[in-house]
Amino acid sequence: MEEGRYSRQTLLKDFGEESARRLSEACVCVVGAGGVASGAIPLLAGSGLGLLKIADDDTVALHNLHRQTMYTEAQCGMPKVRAAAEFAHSLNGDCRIEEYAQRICGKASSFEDKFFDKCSLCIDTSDSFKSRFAVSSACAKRKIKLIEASAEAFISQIMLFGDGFYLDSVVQAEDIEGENAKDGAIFGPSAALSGVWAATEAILHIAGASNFNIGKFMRYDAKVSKFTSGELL
Amino acid sequence: MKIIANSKVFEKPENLTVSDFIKSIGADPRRSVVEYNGKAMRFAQFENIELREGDRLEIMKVVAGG
Repeated sequence: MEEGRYSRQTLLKDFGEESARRLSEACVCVVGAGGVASGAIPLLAGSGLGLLKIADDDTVALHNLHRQTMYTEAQCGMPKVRAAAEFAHSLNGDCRIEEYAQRICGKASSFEDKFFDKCSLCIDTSDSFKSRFAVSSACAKRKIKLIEASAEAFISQIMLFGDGFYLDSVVQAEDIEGENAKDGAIFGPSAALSGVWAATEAILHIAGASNFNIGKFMRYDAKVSKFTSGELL
Repeated sequence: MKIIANSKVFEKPENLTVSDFIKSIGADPRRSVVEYNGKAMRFAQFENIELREGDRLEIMKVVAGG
């Protein structure tokens, strides 16, 4: 007899049928559909998540495929949200996908209201401090838990936010206005690792299998194999 | 006094805060998370800590790429 789709997951201690039900009723918003998201989206969709919303205003490009492994050469030029939705849907037809080919600005708009509606948790994988502050502000306003997942060069990093503790508690917004990491050097596995960490925190939290520790910080420098973690709250 | 930061030894004058030290090596404390003697801290937590002989720091720039 064929095993159930999620049987190897529901066999886990503290991760049974109740966790599967929680996941199937949850919605995760992923901002950005690049390298970090390529580590997170397959695991979120595969986990049995009910609704996945993806926002990104960019297109698939050849020079990003080393880390944006959800995409193919044939998809170059296609909106990333379209290609990401195709990938996630092909991986798990149980997961409903909504695609938003727009950038989060953190200002009141019907688009952002719709994007964040029913959101259980947001994962920000966007490519600049400017967009990350906008996402952080939007989540703070709506009291949504937020995972900031990022990467640069050989560094993978995530931080967990919520309950009034958001990105501006760690980095001062006025100091980084206009900076953009979009064109920076980035090691594919470092981007993917950050996405995998974000998916890990999101799935465990939604499933009720572990606490969402606001203030949690994790960082790995792949070049020197150095891992750091701590609580910033 | 000797301060060990990111695995290097620095000779610095007394009465230096963690924030001053980060600036003195050309980094931006407002963009950094610091592991101070093994404990991770954000700017508001480490800004005014005064360094002592033998303190160990790991200064980590907060990154934003995706």
